[in-house]
Amino acid sequence: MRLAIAEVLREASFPANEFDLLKQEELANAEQQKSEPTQIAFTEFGRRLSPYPKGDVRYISTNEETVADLNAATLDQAKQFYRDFYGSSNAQLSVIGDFDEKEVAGLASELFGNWKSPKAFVRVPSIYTDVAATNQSFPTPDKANAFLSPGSI
Amino acid sequence: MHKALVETKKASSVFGFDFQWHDPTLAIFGAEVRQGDSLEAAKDVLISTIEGIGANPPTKEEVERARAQLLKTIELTLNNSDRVGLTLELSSSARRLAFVFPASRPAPQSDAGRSDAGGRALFQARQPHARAIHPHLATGPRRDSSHPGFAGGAQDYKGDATVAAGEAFDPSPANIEARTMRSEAGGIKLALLPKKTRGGKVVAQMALRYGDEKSLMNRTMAARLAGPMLMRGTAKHSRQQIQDET
Repeated sequence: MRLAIAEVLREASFPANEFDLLKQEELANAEQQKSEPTQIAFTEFGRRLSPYPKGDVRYISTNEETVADLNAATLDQAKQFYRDFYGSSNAQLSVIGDFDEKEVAGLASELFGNWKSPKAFVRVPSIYTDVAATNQSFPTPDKANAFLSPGSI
Repeated sequence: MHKALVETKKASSVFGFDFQWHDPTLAIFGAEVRQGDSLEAAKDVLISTIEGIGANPPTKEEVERARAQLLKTIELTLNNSDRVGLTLELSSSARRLAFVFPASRPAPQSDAGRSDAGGRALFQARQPHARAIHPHLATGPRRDSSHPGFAGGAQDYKGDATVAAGEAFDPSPANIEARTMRSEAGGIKLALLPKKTRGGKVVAQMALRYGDEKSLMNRTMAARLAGPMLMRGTAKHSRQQIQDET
């Protein structure tokens, strides 16, 4: 338990070979999703309701952008992100079950009490945008099934 | 298969499973290959790895790892009352696996002879040009009259000690609130709810909040890849060791 939570969170070493494998897995997923009607529908639906600029944390990438971003991603960027943002200055921990509450509270304090988040946390709001109604379809010639994602805000 | 195919980047993921049925049946192995990568190369390595199990039998360490994972899965399933019924309903082999296997706790072994036989059976059975391999025995499936039957191995079964049953808990929001203790440790807000649970189970969930609109700009992919990397190695433990511990 101590290993699983504290060491993994605080002492991640980002091995280069594992990063390459992770990229391969993610690229394979993205390539597989490219022609899936369900995935296309959700992505396009989300993109219309979340009109944020590219780069924004709320922006929804197209499949092509995801593949390009994955190809361009470097181990250093992932490591730097970990160093810049990971910490427990703004965290919640819930525990339920057969345990001693004093022991768990003590452990949380011992393992994470001094783990400061390097950058400040401010919740990023979802902003209401009046999106004009559209009706769009995306043909996927090699797929027999269709997927419909209607919605309104 | 992971070593031979994923670590060499011939495939992005691999899987394998079999059915514990009365009669000879399928063992299924697969590899997912990225678009543009050679399906043929992956197929060749997949087949040679499976057929080579006689020459390269699993090590004691690998058998022990598989055994430990199986035992853990069984234990967690049995502690989860809504899963027990569904799992046991499925098949008698699931029942035997759940009860007889942990009770007998077979010692880890690396049985080269057995691996060799398995490799040969698969070798004889495969369809040479098929992409999906169908390892029926050469003569086709047939009933095995020497099979011990579904009770096989279970005659002498004695259960483990009964797991703690937990307490009757009123799940109303008012009771949950009344029983939850809130405090803070460093920057962490704690919500602790100690209660007796089946098998002494404890569930914990932790959320780390970070960044703001400006600092997170253009960091989406880095964030997406940083998270899964945590489980893939620390200063003291490899990905494999972390998997074994969790």
